[in-house]
Amino acid sequence: MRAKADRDACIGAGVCTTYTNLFAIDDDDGKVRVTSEREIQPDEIDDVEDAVAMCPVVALSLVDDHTGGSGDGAAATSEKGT
Amino acid sequence: MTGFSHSVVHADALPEVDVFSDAYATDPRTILDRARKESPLVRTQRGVEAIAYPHCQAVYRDDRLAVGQRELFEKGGLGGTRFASTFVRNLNNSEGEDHARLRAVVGPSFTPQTVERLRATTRDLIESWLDEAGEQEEFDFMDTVADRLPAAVFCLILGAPVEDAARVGRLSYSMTKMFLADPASRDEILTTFGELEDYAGELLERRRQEPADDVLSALVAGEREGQLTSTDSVTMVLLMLTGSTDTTASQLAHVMIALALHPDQYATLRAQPEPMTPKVMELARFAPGVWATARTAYEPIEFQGVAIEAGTQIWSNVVAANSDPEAFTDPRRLDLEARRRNPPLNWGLGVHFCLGRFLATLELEEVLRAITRRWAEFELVGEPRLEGIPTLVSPRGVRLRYRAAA
Repeated sequence: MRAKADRDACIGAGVCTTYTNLFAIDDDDGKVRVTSEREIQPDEIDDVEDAVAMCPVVALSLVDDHTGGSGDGAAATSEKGT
Repeated sequence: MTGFSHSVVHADALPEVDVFSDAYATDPRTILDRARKESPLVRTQRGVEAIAYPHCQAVYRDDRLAVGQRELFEKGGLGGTRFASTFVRNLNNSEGEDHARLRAVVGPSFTPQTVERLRATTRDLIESWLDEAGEQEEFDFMDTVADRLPAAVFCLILGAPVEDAARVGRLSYSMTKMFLADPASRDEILTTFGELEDYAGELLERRRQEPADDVLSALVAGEREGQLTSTDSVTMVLLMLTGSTDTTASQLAHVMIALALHPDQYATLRAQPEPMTPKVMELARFAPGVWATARTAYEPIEFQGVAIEAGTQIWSNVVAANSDPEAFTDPRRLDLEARRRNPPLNWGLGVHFCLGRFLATLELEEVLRAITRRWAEFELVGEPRLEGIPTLVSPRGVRLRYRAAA
C-alpha cells in the first residue's frame, strides 16, 4: 500500500498531518504533499487510514500496488468489526 | 451522480420532523434515531434535512449547494445595505475559484502547525482565569472561560493586541445576531459593522506599515500580490470573528456539561489525558454545539433521490450524523476510550470545512488539560439554559462546582 494525494482537491486544512508524517503541508502552495513513496508499514497503517478517512475533502487515498485497487475516504467507514 | 429517474420522490413526500418542538429540544437524538429508520432525509420547518451520516457528508460535498447567507440577510431586514453587499462576498459565501483564491490566502495561518504557536499563551490565559475561579465556591464557566477565550484567541491569531479581547468579544456578540435573521437587531448589527470595519481597517493599516507573522500580515500580503482587495481583507476579519466566537464558546460549554454529567468519563480522562485530541473529538461528537448547518440549492436539483426546488435550504443535522450507528458504534454512549473511524461533523466537510477547526480543538484541549490537573471532580450547579435550539445551541448559566485535586 502506498499513499496518494489529489492536490487539486486539497484545501490545505492539514487534518492528515495530525495523524501521520507521511503527509505534510507544502510551504510553497499550502497543499498536501506525500512525504514518502515508501510502502506503508503494518505499524503505521492505522494512522494512515485515519488520515485518509478524516480528510474533509476526500483528497487522500491508499493504492495497493499488487491489485491496483484503491480505497478512499468518501464513504462513512463502518466501525463494526474494527 | 444519478440522473432523474422514476424513483425520485418530491421533498413534500418526505417524513416530517418538528425541530422546534419541546420534545426535540429536550432529546433530539431519540426523535432523530426513530426518523432515521424511516428515511435518511426528512422535511422540517426550515427545509430538507439530512439525518444519516452519509447524507450529511453529501450535503457538504455537493458543489450545487452553496452556503448562501443572502436570504438570511433579507429576512433580517438587512437586504440592500452596504453591510449585506460586503458580507455576501466573504470566503464562506463564495464558491469555486473565488473561494479557492480567498482560502489560499488565509489557509496557511490555520494549519495545525501554525496554530500550535498559540498554545502556550492560550494555556496561560486559561490558567489565570481558573485561578480567579478558584477563589469562589462555584463559578459561571461562560463568564469565566468560555465567553472570553475565543475572542482572546482570535486576537492572538489575527495579530491584534490581546488587550482588545473584551471589546472584540462584545462586538462579536452583537455581530453574530445577524445569524438570527431578526429585523429587531438590524440597527445594532449595522452600527457594529461600522465599528468593526473601522477597527479592522486600523489593524490592517498598522500591518501595512509593520508586517509581522499573523493573519493580518497574510491579508496585507494577499492584497499586495493582487489576490485580495482591501474590502476582502476587512470582510475576512469579520468572517473570522463571527465564525469563531459564539461557536467555540458553545462547543466549550457543551463539552464541560457532558463531562459534568458523566463523572466516570471525567475520571477516565483524568487517569489518562493523553493523547488528548481523540478524546476532545469524542466529546465534540457526543455533545456538538452546532446542531445543524445549512446549504441552499439555487437551482432545482435531485439530491440523494429527492427532487429539490430552487431556493430550498438543505440542512446537515450534526446531532443526527454524530449519533448515526452506521458511522459510530454505540453512538449514544460517551466513550473516551473508543476508537472512532469517522470524523464528527461539528466542523463540516468539503471546501468550506471550518477554517478555525484547529484553533477550536486547541482551546478545548487546553481547557481540559487545565481542569484535569486542577479538579478531582466537578459538577453542575442547577441546569444550564440552552439558547438557539435547533441550530447553534448556546448554553447559558453553566455554573460549576469542583473539588480540587490533592
